[in-house]
Amino acid sequence: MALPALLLLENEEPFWGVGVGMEGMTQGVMVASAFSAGIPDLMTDPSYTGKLVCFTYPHIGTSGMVPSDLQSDEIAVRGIAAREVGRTAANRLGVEAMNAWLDRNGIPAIEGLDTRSVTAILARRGLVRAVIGTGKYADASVLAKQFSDATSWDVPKAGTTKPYDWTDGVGDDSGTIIVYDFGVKKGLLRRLASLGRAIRVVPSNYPAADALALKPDGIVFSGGNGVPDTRAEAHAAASAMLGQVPLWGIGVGAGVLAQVAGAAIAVNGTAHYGVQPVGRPGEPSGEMTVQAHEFWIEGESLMTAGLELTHVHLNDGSVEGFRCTKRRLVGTLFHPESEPGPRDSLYCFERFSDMMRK
Amino acid sequence: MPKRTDLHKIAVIGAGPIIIGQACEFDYSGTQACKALKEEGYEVVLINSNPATIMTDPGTADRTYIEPLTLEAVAAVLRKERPQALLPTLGGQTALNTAFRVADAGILAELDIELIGADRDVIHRAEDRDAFREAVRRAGVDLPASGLARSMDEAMRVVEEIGLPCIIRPAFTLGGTGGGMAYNMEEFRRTAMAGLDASMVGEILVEESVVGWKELEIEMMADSSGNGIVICTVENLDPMGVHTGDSITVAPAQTMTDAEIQEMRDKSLAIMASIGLKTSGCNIQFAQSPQTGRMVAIELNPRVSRSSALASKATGFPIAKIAAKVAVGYQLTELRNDIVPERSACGEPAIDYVVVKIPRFAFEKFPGSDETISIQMKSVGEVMAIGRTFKEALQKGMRSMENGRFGMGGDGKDPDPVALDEETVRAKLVVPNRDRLYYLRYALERGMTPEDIFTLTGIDPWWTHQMNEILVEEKRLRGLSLDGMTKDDFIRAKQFGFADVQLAHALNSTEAAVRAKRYELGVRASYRLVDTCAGTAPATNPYYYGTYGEQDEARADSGREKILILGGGPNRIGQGIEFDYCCCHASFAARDLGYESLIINCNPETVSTDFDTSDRLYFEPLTVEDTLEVVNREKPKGVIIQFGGQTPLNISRALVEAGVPILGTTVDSIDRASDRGQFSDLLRKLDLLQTHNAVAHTLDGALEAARGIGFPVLMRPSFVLGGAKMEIVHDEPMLRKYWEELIVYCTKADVTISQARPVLIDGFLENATEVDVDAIADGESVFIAGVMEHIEQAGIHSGDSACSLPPYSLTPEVRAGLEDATKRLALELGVRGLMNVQYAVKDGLIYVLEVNPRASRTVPFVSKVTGVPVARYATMAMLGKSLADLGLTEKRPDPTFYGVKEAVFPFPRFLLPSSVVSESGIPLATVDAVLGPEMKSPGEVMGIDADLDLAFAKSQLGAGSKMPLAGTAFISVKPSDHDQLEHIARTLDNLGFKLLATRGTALAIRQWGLPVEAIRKVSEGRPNVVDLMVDNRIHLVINTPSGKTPRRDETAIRTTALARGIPLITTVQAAGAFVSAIRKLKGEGGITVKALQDYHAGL
Repeated sequence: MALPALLLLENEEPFWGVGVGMEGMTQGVMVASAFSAGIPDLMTDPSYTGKLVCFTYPHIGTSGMVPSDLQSDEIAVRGIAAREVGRTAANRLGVEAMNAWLDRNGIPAIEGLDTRSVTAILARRGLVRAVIGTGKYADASVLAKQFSDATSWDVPKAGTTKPYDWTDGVGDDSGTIIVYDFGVKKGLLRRLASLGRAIRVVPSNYPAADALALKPDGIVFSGGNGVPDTRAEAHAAASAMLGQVPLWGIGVGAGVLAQVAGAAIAVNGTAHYGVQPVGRPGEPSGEMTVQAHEFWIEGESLMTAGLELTHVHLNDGSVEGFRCTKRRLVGTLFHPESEPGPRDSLYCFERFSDMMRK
Repeated sequence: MPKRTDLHKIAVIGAGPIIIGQACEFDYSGTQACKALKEEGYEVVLINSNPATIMTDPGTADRTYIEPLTLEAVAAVLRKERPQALLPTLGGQTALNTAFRVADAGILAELDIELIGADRDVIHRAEDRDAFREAVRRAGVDLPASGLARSMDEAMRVVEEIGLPCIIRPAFTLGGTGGGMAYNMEEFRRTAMAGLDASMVGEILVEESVVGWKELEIEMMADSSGNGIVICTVENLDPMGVHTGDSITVAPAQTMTDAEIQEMRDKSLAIMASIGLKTSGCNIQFAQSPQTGRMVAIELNPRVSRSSALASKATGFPIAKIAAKVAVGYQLTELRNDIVPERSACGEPAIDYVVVKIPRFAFEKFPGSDETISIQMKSVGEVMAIGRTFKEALQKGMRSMENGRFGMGGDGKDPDPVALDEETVRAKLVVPNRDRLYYLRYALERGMTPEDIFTLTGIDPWWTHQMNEILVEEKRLRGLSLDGMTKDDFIRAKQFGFADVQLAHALNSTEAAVRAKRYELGVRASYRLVDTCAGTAPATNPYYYGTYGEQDEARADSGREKILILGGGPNRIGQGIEFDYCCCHASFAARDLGYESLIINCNPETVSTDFDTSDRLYFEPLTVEDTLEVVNREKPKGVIIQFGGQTPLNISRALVEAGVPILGTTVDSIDRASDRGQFSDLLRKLDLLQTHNAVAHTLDGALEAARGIGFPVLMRPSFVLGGAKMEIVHDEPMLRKYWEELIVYCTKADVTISQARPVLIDGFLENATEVDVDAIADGESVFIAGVMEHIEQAGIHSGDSACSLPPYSLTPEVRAGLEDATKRLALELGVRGLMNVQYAVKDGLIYVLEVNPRASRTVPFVSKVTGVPVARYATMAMLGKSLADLGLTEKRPDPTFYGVKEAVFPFPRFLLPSSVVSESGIPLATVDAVLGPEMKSPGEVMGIDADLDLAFAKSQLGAGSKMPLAGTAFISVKPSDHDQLEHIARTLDNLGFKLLATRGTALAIRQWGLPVEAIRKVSEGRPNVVDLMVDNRIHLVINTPSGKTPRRDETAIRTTALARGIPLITTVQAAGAFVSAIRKLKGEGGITVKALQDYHAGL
């Protein structure tokens, strides 16, 4: 018999569906995702740590879980809402069906849902707190209580707590890239590794002195979860390293660097998740980028921070990239490694490589 | 870089007639492009030979040339108009090929005209197999192993390297004509030879077979700064080996990982860059090995294609419009998304539903044709269905097909799966065919697993797992009773896509009872938007699909009254673009009168399903159930059923019974005109003539009736629509044979001839002139919109005949009689809207053959010739305007020029590509290229000229026929045609043609004192006529069927003519017109062109 399931968005009518995966209750801020493929990749992206995801495309995880596509060793999202979760691994590379993978990893999911109506609420309200309960937890009064329980909504900061070396695919050129880990994706590390240097991944609060002591060719502030204010643990290191070494910030890492450089950060507006079109000021070209950020850099503050605008969102005109040639600093609010998503922005790795060479 | 200001006037080439492989999708794309260019302030010159298009309406372009798409005619238009640019990427393969020829002939250079969208080199690199492979290789993308051949020797060398099975693809053709698979050397030789012939440049590609691989498509859009975006990915349910036009296709791709999708995207961008493709939409096809994942590029269309139309309708992204804008210099980053104003056009659409396209075939129109499908496209139309899941979309698609089925089986029309023969089931799975979808069901029911099916077919198990879920749900429903059905049960069933008809079958109830119960429980369809952004931003477009158990999308209420127009569904023979044209005009007219116009249709190729044709578009099946749901939501003031052809008529009675208000002529009146008894009474009442007729349900009865009427008679079953099994029967033995075949046909179709379902027998008027009359009526007065005289005699289906407007040989008395009869019929039937009457005129007497109180195929043709927007005025009449209000009280004088409509035929499609052994090298076809009472043409062209002969010549050229001005004419006609032959033979002789004839015909020609050489028939030994044809020594074939049963000889001649592209004329009337046209062409030294706007200005 089908497991009853309930999705409760804060201050909205309940959505009933069917439970998939582990019976249980889960909560988090819900975001909508329009990906139709690459679902396990996205669910293991640490940028989504603590989130609930509502998938707009009805058939989710059809290809099955493909281990080499996963972006971290754990599922980052806390739960999903979908129309229909895959029961077979249709792709020849898929080793496990989506429902089994969710179950094995203890991720509650609700399916059979009017996901378009959920998406409409998210599009209107932005980031909305939500609770999913399946099986015996599918009880509206129980779930509703969660919204008043303040402490349980904390989300852990993504990223490693111990430094380690990433060895997969690294070249034998001399030199090192240090990655400050705010929730780094394996995709990013693989792309950085392809630049030929050793890759050292360090916690986001890693002291600048220790990092600079390694004489890195460049330092990357990775993408991850949170906003610059909640990732203040990296501020000191960022300030100390500005102008000392080529720096590249991605996603929230870019926000931290911009903030430290003196730009103003805003946190209210439409969050950018999924594939987003980005252009470059004064140029006719556009690129399809992959994003997962819920903060913005105030455009007017870039100049006062001595930063040059390099990328702008084609829909809402918001800042998506900046640089400072003098201080050898670049920031991209999008994730150029994509995974999942279009790979239009891979040139950013080349540019960073050039910057490190100079 | 915004739009170019150095261009002022742009010429656009249309796609010409509807043929298999090139349907009305190019009216949709061409119309959108013309509108977009005009919107930007350019003067648009359009060249297209197809009158049944919205694109050739005088308001769509500034200068409209309905002229043949030949090098000569296009060059004449360009010389006259002197545009700065020519846009060839929106009129299908025809436009691309035409532009290429014009460029190669040096005309563009001479006139300093720039090809925009795709230049000559880009077209060459995309279309020329060798150049394409080179470009793909340069892009670093894998290809199937292959080799090019320009001769049979080369072909043999290539196949030795590649091995069998292999695919033969001719360069520069359309829809895979002349291509094929070869599994053995004999087949290879045959197919290679046919391919070399079919190619415009005498070149074939022999390619490693990737049959059974996964077939994927990607629809891209590019601009001149190198931006490339994916509009849509498509995965074919049918793996490689079935032409994509004949495949069931699904958007977006379902079984791929993101990494694979991005790999395909990267490869596509690399190929586009390598080919130099900028400023255009494009479609690239890939094959992927299910075992290794190896992905190879198969084909690229450097233009808007059938797939683009589908991708456009599937996502809401207006591909043709944006393609036109990037062609004139805009960058994608400079354009906004029409549908989501807050978004850039430089963004990849996301969808939150599943789209399924299913092809529609017309094998029943071509008895004896090979019903298997392969790499040469055979379908004549398609449906698209949108559902929230694949299951829902598939079932909706299957009930949109107009084939009497209501979903994935389970509608009471399946055979008992257990009783099926195992061999048959396997064969139906292994060899792709029209019914394979149903056989997938039967196979699953018989216990085959999706994995077993994959082994047999290469169909990814995901699809069949989904189908199996439908079956499991069906089984669950069978365990329930209608009384026990809860609201949730209904919603669940509906979400699986089940129609009320299927539910009735599963629950052992009736459709009406199921619907009543469903309504009682409040289970009604909800409608969701197609918005390019999966609901993540507010959209403004009014484009919906239906589903169940979800919230209904909010929409603004304008407060205006609504008019709902039912479209025509999938294209098939006899039901094509003409009806869509009428539906579009109904929508425009309703809007102009201040109504909100709503359209339901499920055909993605059409202009009617363009989101700005109506105020709200419902992309839904045209069944009673789906229509009632839309009516329930919208509560329209009235529903227009008379413009969508047979499709809405089929459901009209049920709609009336459900209380739906029908606009215009009543359903009772429509029935009165189609019911035999009532129709005869009507004619008697009006004192109009009808040929003698009778009905019979036994062979003896039929024989007796035919004797009473007198042979020849026209016979047809009363229970089949569209002229199926309609034949002219000349004598008793032939009648017996017909009856035998009919019994076989009925057994196959599972119907029995009975008193209730008799066979209709009509006296057949030999050598009568057939006339079509179109009229508009408001209930009180009647406006004669057009009188068309057929070129061919009565007995050839009106849709297959050439006709002239105005008539060329009718006496004033007959004209007056026809108009009077039409008016009286319209008034007696209470027609409000359109009416078409078919007459036969013999010895000055007027016989009424048929009355159709609804839109006819000729409506757009009449409008193009007379300049009267017939469908528009008819709509206004239906909405209460009087003809006086519309200024239609005066009879209009005949135009001072002639419009000739000519049908095009798909016969070359039925040439057997390979493996069938024929003696003496005669190509074989499964279908004989003769015309009869059953319609066989999918499309039409128009020739227009001040001179009738030249108008006819243009119609022939437009239909793709050559007009030889010199050479050898071969003539073989039946004795009864000899009278009319003398003039033809004499004219040909005067023009310097050498005459060849079979013995009987030669004897006749000699009697008239003309030189003629007798030649052997095929059965008389060799060398015979076919040998000469094969050697290109015959340039014109006039061959009328000897009546009764076609002889093998004649079939061989006609088939060879088709295969060799030799003009073939099968009626003596058409031969007369053809020969006169040759004489005029020769005298004038070619054709001259004139814009429709100039013709109309003279009216």
